[in-house]
Amino acid sequence: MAIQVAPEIETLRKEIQKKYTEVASNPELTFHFHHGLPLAKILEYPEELMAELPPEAVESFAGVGNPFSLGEIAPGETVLDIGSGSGFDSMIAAKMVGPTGKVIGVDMTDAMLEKSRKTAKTLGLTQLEFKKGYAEELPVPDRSVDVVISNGVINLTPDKSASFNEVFRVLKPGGRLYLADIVVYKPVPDAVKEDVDLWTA
Amino acid sequence: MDAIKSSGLADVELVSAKDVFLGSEGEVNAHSFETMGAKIRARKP
Repeated sequence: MAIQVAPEIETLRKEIQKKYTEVASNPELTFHFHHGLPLAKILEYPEELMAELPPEAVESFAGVGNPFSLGEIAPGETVLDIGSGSGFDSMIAAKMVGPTGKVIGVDMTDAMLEKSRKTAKTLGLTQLEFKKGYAEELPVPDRSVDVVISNGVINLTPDKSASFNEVFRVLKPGGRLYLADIVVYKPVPDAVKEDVDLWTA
Repeated sequence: MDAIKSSGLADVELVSAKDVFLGSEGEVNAHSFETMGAKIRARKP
């Protein structure tokens, strides 16, 4: 993935939490990346998916692709959203799996969890729950998930190998990963890899 | 991609990549390293 050398892990996590608390709390601000409804349109999310969600579900969205374009999600399936943020993708997945399915969103930023839980409650999505956790230590049992989705998150984790090992652990045999994330095609100098601002931007 | 394959996941496929920073404040930095938003699919055997 994008960056292999990390600043100190706790420093990096705190800076990322700070950045995404801003995105959750002040979505009207400008960030280094696109976000919200304009981003969802850039990423070509179908209008009919977005139309079913309230503005609070969309305004703090900060992904890099549409994971639902990578394959189907069936009613009754269990979906895990790693780095669920404001819950945009989790809520779309919840509508796909329906009341007989289950969606678990995992995020490390309290402001995002608070916002996503509130919106999910408003929508009455009882098949959707949000848990606090890290991609490298998912709070999910072994072999319990049909589909893992993640959108613009694993590039932010200090230990990519641990994150993907966790994806493998929680997926059922035959389970699928639909991943949207950042890739870089030019070598990144070590000095840049250690720049926390660039990680969070 | 190597980290995904090393985890044991199979059929790892880079499906597409798109310049998702075009027009954003971070465009210059992103373009410095040819940073793209990629869509990747894989499966647990």
